[in-house]
Amino acid sequence: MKRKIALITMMTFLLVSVLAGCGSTQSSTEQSASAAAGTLEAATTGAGTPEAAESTAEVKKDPVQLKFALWSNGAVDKEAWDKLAADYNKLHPEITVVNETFDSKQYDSIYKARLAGGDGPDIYGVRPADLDALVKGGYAADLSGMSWFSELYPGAQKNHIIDGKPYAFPFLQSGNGFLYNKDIFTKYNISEPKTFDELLTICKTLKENNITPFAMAAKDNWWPQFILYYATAEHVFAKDPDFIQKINSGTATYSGTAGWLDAINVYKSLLDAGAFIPNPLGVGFDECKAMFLQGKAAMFPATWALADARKENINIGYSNLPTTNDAASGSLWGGYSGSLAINASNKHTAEAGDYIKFMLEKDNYHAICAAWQLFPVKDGVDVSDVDSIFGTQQQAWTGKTLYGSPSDNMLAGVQDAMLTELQVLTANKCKPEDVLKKMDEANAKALEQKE
Amino acid sequence: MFAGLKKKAWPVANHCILILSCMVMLYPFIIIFFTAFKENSEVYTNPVGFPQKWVLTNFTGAWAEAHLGRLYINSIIITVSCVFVSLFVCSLASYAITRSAAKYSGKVYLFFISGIFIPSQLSIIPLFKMVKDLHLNNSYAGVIMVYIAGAIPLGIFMITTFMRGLPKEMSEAAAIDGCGYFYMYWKIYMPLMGTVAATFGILQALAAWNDFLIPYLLLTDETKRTLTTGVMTFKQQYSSNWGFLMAGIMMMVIPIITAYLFLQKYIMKGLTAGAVKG
Amino acid sequence: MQNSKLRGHFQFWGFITPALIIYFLFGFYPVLNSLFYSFTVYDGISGHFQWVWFKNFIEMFTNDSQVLTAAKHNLIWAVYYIVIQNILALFFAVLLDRKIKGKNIYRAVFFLPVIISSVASSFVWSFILSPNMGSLNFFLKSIGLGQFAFDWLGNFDLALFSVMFVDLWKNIGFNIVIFLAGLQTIPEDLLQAADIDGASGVRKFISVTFPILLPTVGMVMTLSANSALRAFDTVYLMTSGGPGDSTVLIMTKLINEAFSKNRFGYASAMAWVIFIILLLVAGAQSKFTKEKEV
Repeated sequence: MKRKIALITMMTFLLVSVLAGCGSTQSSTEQSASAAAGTLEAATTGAGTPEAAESTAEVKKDPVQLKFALWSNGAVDKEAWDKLAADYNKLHPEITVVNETFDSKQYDSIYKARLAGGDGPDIYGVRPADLDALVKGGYAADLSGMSWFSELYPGAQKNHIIDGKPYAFPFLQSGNGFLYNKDIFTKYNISEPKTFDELLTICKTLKENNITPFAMAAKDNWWPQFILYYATAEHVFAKDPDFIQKINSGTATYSGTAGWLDAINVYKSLLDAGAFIPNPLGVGFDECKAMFLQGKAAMFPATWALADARKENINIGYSNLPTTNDAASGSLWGGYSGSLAINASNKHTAEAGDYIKFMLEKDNYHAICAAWQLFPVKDGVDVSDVDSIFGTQQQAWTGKTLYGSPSDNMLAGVQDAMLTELQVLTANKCKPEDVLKKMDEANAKALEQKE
Repeated sequence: MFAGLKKKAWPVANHCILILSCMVMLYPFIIIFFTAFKENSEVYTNPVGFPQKWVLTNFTGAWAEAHLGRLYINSIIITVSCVFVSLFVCSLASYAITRSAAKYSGKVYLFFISGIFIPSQLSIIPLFKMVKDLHLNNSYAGVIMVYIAGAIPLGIFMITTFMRGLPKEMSEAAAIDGCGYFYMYWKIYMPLMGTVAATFGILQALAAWNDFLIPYLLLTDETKRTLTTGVMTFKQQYSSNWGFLMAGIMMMVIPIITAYLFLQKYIMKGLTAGAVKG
Repeated sequence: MQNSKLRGHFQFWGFITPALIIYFLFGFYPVLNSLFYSFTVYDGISGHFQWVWFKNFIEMFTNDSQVLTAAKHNLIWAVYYIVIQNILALFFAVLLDRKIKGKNIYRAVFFLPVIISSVASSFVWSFILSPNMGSLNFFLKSIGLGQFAFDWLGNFDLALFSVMFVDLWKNIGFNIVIFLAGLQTIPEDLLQAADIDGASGVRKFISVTFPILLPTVGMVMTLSANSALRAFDTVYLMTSGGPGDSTVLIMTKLINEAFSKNRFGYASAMAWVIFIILLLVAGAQSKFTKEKEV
């Protein structure tokens, strides 16, 4: 009787541990692999055999697996990352890089859950708003000592400084404007807008001819904010470059900054002019892109549809997006995107740093920039051959001061409030002032929580 | 006179209502079917009608890109393990609770039952940490354990209710015959568990097969992902491949539907028996 | 005597242990952990937290308008789920209970949506309800009802009901099957007796069928209430709480607070309040049915 009970309990414990055992194949194989490597090393180094002599100058390392996690731009970027990983593995056979790309919306919860749970990636894309907490938790390494860091543009180096040290770096930059369908523009005698009024006129002309002006909608709430950022560059930052410091320390408010109201009104004017896809709140980003690619929408307010547009053989043009009536405006929305951090708690900081160094080497970095259709953040990498448009873009940006996305430095919760209220505004259920009011409320709350 | 007309009209009206409702029920499946055979570009130009050009590339493409074969295997491993282990574990516990006369057994029972109301999102981060601390992250075992823990409250509830309903004379007679504790469980209670085991098993299998949040968070390896999470990758934020998505959904759904059509009788019997007993 | 008592203890605990261990480790302990965090301000990442006693709970009930919005939506959802869906399910179950041909086929069709993943149903319905290229509006426009071709998921006033409809489509089959089973336990002779007494269909239902069905109805109601308060999948996959806040549910807000706003302590507090409410609802329902059963 007692034996039977003991048997059951033992069996169940056995079952659980067997499941646990076959589960952690990763750690056990790693252990056995390193054990095997250890013995091999002992055999070869001791004996002084030809194999030992042929091995690389550095001490044979234990196999390391680096995990790289980032949101995805479509499918092309995944291929580029995989090729990079494969090339690196050829040079360093004991290091395997595993790439994971996610839907941007899911990425936020996943990467934080993994980091907090102790199973975070070694190199990962980081949302600027989370960096503070990540550094506090020890999940982001200080990059200032890395050999490749000082080669980045000064602006890139200073992009993520906390307490005087850089804990992340952006690996892409770009000016921002919109792509347009040259054939449509030619057909209706439209030329690139240099002022906001010209832009509104273009929208009117297109609408009269049953073409949707902008491939912009609002169901994916992160999409409309781009229109806003075109405007904040010219209306907010051009007038007050220190705005970010002020708002994040509580010395300024969104409602109290006239430029912000102007920016929201830019969005509203376009909305009221019917410049977006009909029923915007029900249309997702993928449909927007599809409409542009089918020639049903004339302008695409971002540059990442480029690869697909080339595939569809659309005659593509690029133009800056003016949000003021000052044709000589020297400000443009642009700046860094795609910030990467190295996980300090995984104890593979050195290997991760080395991989980044490899990534930033001329040809490799060129491939990455080409996949993302954006520009590099250091000298010596010429991407103008990626696409003929790149030349046009760079020309359009010469002499302009680039101002980044306000969301990069917004306190936690502010962007959320902004995106939600923009949707309410899109449904005409609130006034532009209300959007700013909600942003201020969220900002105040975040400042409180920071204590 | 009216009564006679009513008698004739009723079945017709009955059928009309039912057929219309069934059309609403089935329409999405028809959309899945049509879209799966359209090229992605046609999905946008002809979202609603018959495919103008029937293609099989969505199936081959979706299968390859998401490695659906592997996802199938993963889903099956996880679901089957979860069902069998939870059945075993729950029946053991239910048996002990049913047979125990001690006061604490009631409290233990309540302890288990209260878990029915725990929302899964409540404990995601601590759960993740727990799984990691036990070195079960990125393993089937981790996901299976989480599912089993979620299944235990309902399982113990259903199986205990059932066992308590069995006639006492049965166990008393067996005890007189010198039947041991484990023996009685194994030879007497277990074999009778058929229907309730089927009901519980089916509910669990469904939940495990169709879940997406847990595997998404806990299985970091792409090769270990399940069907649901794999199919989700087609609805990326920046580009959606509806053709692939629908083909993937079809391949995810067909085995379930087939199993359902074959096991319908048992499923219905089990569900209703458990349900009606309250 | 003592020996067998001891043996009894040993037997009990021996059999309970596997379930206990798994449930405790992966079910109960994380929940306790989150209870701890509900009294803190914690970003969920850095490992640093700050004990703030009941501040989170106070904020939830007094200073967070989104909580009220979410609660309102969940209430609407609960009413529809508990009342409307069950009335419809009962209606269909009654229709199916008659001796009609093809009953099993109808029942199978109704149950079909239940067995597919919420991932599948959410994506398909998003496609169908798409305002410019979806089937529903296409159909409405083609039969001349174009003015009803609304933006089902983008309209602030309609979005919640659209999502609830998709949920109804997915789950009603389950309730129908349960009610059908319940109906089939009603003794034939009782119904025949009522027939002989000249009772009409409706009268029969009220006096004979429904009272016997009551415990089943009670159980379904608890399950419905439970589901309504925990509704998450469909909304998360179809609208993420949008447009604006018009489809925010308590669960989606919880996930949003924890993962987007890094307010893990606050999210845990919310989760615990929900948990307690669910327990209270279950307790009330079981008391209610116990009284009725007498």
